[in-house]
Amino acid sequence: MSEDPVASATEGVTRGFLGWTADRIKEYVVKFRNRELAFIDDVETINTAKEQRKTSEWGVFKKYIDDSDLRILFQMGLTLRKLEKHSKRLESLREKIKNKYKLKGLHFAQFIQNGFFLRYYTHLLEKGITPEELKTAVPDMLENIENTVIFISQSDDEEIKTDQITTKIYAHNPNTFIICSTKSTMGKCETIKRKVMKRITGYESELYKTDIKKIYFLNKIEH
Amino acid sequence: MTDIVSIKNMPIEYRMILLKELGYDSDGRFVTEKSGEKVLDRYTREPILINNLAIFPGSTIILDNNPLSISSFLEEFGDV
Repeated sequence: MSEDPVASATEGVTRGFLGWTADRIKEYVVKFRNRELAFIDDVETINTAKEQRKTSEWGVFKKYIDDSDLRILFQMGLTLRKLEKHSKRLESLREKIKNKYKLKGLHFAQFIQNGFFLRYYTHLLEKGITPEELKTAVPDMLENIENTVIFISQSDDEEIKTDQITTKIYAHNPNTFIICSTKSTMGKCETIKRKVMKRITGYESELYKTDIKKIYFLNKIEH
Repeated sequence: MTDIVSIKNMPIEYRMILLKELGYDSDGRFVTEKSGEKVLDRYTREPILINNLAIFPGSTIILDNNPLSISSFLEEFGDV
C-alpha cells in the first residue's frame, strides 16, 4: 500500500492509502486552499478526460467548434469510444449524457464515438472541399446533426424510417444526408437507403463500408 | 501545477472530516450544505455521492466523479 496518495495518483497507480488522520486531512486542506491539490476518488476518470483532450481527433476539430455544449459532447463521444469495453461505465455515461443533453446530445456523442463524423470529414476532403468551405461545413454538420444524420437501429420499422429520412431531406435540403448503421443493422440500412433513393430526386448515394459499419452519404447532385 | 490526491480508499468518517473542513457536510450518503440541503453537481445537476467525489480548488468545486462532469470542468476551467 502506498503511503502517499499524491504519489499514487501521479504514478497512475490505484493503490490503497490507509494513513488518513484528521491532522493529515487538515494539512491537505491547507494545500488545497493554496490550489496545490485536488481530491478525486477515481483518478482514472480525470486521466481519461485529459487523454481525450490530447487526442489528434480533438486537436483537429476543436478549432471548428465554438459551442461549449458541442465541445463537451464531442469529448464525450471520444470517451464513449474509450469505454466501449467497459459496459457498465459506458452505460452510466450514456445515461448521464442523455439526462443532460437529451437524446439529441446522445446521438451527437454516438456520431463521434462510432467514427462516423471522422468518416464524414474524410468524405469532405475527398470531395476537394477548400479550407474556407471546411470552416462552415464542419460546424454546420455538427450543429444540425438531428436534421442531417440518422442512425438505423434493430427495432426500426423500415417504412417509418424511410418516411422520416425522406421528410428530413425535403425539409432541410442538406448538401449531404448521412444514414449510419453498425453490425446487425447494416442489412436494414441498405434496404432503407434503397427505398429513400426511390422517393427523392437530386441526390446520389455513396457507400462507406467496413466489417462493422455501413454509412451512406446521400449527396446533393451539383449542377 | 495542481497535484491530484486519490481518495479512493478514504474511509467515510474521514470524508466527512474533509467535507466539514471545506465548509460542507454530508448525510452519510450525499454531500450537503451545512444546512442539510443536498449539493448538486455543477454540470449534471444531480446530488453528489460521498463515495464518488471530485473536489477542485479555487472556489472549492465539488463534483460527482464522472466523465461528463470532469470534462465539463476541464472545458470551463482548463486543465488542472
